[in-house]
Amino acid sequence: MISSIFVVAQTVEERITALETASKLDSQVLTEQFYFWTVVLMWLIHVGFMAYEAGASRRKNIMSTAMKNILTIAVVTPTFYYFGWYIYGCMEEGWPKSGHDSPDAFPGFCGLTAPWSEGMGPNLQDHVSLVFFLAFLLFSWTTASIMSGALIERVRLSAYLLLAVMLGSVVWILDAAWGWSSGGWLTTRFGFHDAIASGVVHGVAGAFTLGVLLNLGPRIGKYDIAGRARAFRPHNTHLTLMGLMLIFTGFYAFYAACLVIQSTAFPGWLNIYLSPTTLGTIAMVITFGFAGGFTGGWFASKGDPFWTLSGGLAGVITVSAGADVYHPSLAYLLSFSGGMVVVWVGNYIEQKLRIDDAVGAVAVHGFCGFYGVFLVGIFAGGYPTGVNNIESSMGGQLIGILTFIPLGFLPGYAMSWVLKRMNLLRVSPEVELEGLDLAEFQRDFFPEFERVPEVIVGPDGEELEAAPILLGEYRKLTAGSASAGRPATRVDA
Amino acid sequence: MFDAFPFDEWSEEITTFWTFGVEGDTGTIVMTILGVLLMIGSLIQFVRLESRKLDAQTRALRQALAATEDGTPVTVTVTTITTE
Repeated sequence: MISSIFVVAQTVEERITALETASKLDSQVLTEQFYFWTVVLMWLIHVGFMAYEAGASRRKNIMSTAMKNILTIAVVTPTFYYFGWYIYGCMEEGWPKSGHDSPDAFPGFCGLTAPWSEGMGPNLQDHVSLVFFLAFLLFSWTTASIMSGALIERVRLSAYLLLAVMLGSVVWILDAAWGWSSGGWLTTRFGFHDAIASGVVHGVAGAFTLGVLLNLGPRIGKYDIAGRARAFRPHNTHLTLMGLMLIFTGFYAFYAACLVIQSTAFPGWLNIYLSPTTLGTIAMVITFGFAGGFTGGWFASKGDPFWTLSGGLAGVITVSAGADVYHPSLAYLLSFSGGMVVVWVGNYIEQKLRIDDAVGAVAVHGFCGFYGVFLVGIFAGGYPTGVNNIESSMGGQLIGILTFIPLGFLPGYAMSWVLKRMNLLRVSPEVELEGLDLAEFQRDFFPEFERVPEVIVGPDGEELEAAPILLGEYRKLTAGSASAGRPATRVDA
Repeated sequence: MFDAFPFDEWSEEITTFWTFGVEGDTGTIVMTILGVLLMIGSLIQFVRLESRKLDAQTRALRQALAATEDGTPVTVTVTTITTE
């Protein structure tokens, strides 16, 4: 009798062990699938960036603009693999080290992120490391692409690619190690809270872009002699709007990939700091973020299509930092404010600061990114963050902002300054006037369509023929040089 | 032909070297170094290739300018180029 009880107990124990093993494997495969599909859907962000920027460019610059987005993948992928991921895994404590060790976050994570480690190659025992890396890689492409649109129509493709490596594989991932990881010193010491990367991705990319734009300068003809801004007509506004909608679609995957799935433990989901949340929470916030942002952008711009859609993006970025804890109504209200403010900031940057940001990236991503981080200090102050349950606070959020602005701006400014000194930052004025596509690819990409004279929108809103204006600006630009006062562009209508 | 090749003897070593390399083994290190070299080389080449294209186009445009120095009116738009 007793022996049979022992046999039954042993059998039950073996079954429980087998179930636990199967459950663990199921959970790991679920995690693997989850991140895999977020990666697939996040490609839409890059389809969107490409369509958005190509549509916003003039006909003569379409392919050079699109090629930037495509080659972002070619350069950020290997650089992020060979050193970017190592930075994330191994520099959480800051460099030099802050001295605030946090072994309870992800023990051994650093050892899994070097390109020669077991975590970074085919490994039947590890279902998580590679898809987790891939999700971060897609974040890196996104971060680099944020800069891309601001520089169009005059930056050298190769200069952009080098800047993209710096931003996508060094700068943003360093700030992510510090403030977007469970062991980051900003998190463990100050409770810095930026759940879906308002400042970590968008703010830092905006600050980096601002640094680059100061060295790159405006497109020829962007400002008149009085410093008033002209507007270049996008060659395809529909493509631009569709691109933005694709970015928005991909953003749902971006949001989801910012969570850690934990299917065997309550509540099943953690944010990047390993604090509990749910997928539904962040999905509601992003949706209401779009709704509020579109509304704010529409009213602030008095119905301008570009700013209405940009307002949606600005709205989402505004609420991303607190998306794991915000109520949908709060997200609606805050994103409405973000959608309005971005219009004013964007116009201020263009018209008062005279910085030619072709797609408003500094306002949409830079300003609203840090605005979102700031708002967490007000509306989610006191909420525990991370494995040490450090309370979020305005002080912690401000420390994060004051850390990230120079971390983004200075490398962007310094690297673009060096490229400028080496004459590698910008195409020649002649090539810029003629269009980059002919120089880069030796062809017109709409050969079957009739060419019409280019139009430029003056400061007062009137549409003018662009050629005499651009040539006048070119003459002023080249005054004193070998080709002073004479156009070097031989073209016909 | 393959029967004459000592494939079976070599294949396991080749596979070990190039595929499921364990942490820090020779094959993994070699592949990493080769990959880093390709990455650096491609970044340099992106710059050089584009510089050649842009410099050539800029030269061509400036030569077109020089050809009109006799006062021939220059007709210009900014959509495409034609050369004489």
